[in-house]
Amino acid sequence: MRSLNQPVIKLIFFMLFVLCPLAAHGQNARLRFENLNGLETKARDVVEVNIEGKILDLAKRVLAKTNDANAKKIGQAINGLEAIYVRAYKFENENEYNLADIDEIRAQLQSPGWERLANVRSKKNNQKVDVFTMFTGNVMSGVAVVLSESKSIAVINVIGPIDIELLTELSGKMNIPHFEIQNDKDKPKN
Amino acid sequence: MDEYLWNKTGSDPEIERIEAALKVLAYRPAPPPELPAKQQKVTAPRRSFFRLSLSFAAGFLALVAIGSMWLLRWNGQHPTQQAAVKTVFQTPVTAVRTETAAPAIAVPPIVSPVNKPRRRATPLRPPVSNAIRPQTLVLTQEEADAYRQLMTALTITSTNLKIVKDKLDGTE
Repeated sequence: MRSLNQPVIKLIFFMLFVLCPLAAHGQNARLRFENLNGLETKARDVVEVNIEGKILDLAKRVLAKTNDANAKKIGQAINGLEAIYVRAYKFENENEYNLADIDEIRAQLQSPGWERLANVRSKKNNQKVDVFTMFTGNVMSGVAVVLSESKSIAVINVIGPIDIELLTELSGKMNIPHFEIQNDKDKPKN
Repeated sequence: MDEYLWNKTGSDPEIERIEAALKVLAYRPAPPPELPAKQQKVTAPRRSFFRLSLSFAAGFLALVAIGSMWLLRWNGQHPTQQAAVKTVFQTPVTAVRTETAAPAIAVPPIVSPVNKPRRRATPLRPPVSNAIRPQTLVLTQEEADAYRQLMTALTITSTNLKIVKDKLDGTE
């Protein structure tokens, strides 16, 4: 009996130590935006932003250079940010987009790991706003904001921890400072 | 010769000749000469005092004029300028309201040049210290593009989060 239990216990430990981290890794906070690609041609205004890796590092470096108080707060709010992806479409007329497109994004947020933080439903402009968060342990690993109105859609996908409260407080205060572009010929030659 | 030189006894033709030549320059008692009429007048100091007073008065009047213009400017005597100051400080609030109406594509607030108040020909502004002077960064093209993109993404994010917060707080 004792010899029979040993392989079972080993199997359980194997599953705990090997499969659980794999499962956690599978809970990726990155959303897929492929089904929104067709909206670019229909929309009047389109904003597509993908910031990650080197671009994010450059932008953070600029934030650190800026001596504006709000810039310091922004830097603090996105200190652990790993990537941010934004898709925003504004249409000329109502019902120019397919509701299924945005529902597909909302369906992705029903997968394990995502938790609904807040949702807003308003009959005015048929407004629906959802905020989801994903945590790995006690650390925030992702945020998703999905907004749909009769004439506009916005999907925001944040990877890594951000300070939601501080970011909300900074709404309307993110002034881009004046900067001069350094030409290549201005760079010191080695 | 020495006797004539020291005691004026005897005769020394050479010294007598020199005495005769220099006699015209000898001291002759006479009343002091009269000073020129100009120098006797005392009007000159009075005139300089008048000029100095006039300069002080002109300087004081200039200071009063500058001070009153500065006060008029900053105490709301010029409604266009007062409105301009209000516009600058109230822009973020207005922007939030505007973005609430069209939240999906929110851009940072831009002050239209049409609404800008006309500047005075001679603007009188209090001196701006280096601490509060707007900073001009020198960036590479890559840095500038990355920063613009990040700020655009964060502006849209914060605007949408604000919509949710306002709805939940019941302020909208």
